[in-house]
Amino acid sequence: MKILIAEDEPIMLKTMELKLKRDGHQVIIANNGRDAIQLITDNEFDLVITDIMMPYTSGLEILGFVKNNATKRIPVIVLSAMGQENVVVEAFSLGADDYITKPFSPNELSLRVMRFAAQVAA
Amino acid sequence: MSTAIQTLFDLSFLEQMDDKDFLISVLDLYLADTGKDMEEMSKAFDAGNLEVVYKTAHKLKSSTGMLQANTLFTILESTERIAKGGTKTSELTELLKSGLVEFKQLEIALELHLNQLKST
Repeated sequence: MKILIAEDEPIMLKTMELKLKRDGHQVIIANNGRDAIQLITDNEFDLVITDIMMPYTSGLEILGFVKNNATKRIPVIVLSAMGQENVVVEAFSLGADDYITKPFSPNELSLRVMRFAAQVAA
Repeated sequence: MSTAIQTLFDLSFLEQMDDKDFLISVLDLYLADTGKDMEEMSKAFDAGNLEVVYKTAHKLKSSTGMLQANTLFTILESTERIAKGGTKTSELTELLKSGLVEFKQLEIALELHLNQLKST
């Protein structure tokens, strides 16, 4: 799958990028929401994984952009933090397909992404 | 690792990658950035800029969580929550102080672990 990761924290980003690349995915990264929107505009992704709190444009805005503007249905996984349960509810109301609470294990990420890989392959 | 060091952090999430070079690079990155960020957070607090305190605590919470440094993680979580409220409280003062103390202990333990990793 071609996956966009939008995350501004370097260790989270490095871990997710390496894990998903090892799983055989093509991974593109954005360090802020503005770059993420631009990349979504210019590319066709199979999956978007976005943190909620990021510089310039929030993860919820990215989610809204994907769900309202993309030319095809792109699943979105939202990365939330403990204590952001209300934001997760908002994310689902905007069309989020899944969420992962940080911190999470790389194996959990891998398994959650695999569910969407199966959908893309179907 | 000794039991005392084990209680400060748990690298099992990162060790799932089964990649020593990756683990070393992550620990190097964490040690290079976190001390600076903790100090900036304290300076921002002194200057009354709770927005920066809130955002920095949020960022540090993510990286600290990946290292499962749970005591510091909990301190950062509380710091973030209170700073988000926008009021400079005595509780926040104490959290920032205890965060710096906890990080110093964590830093020593991580450096020790990192040196062991690099020497094997």
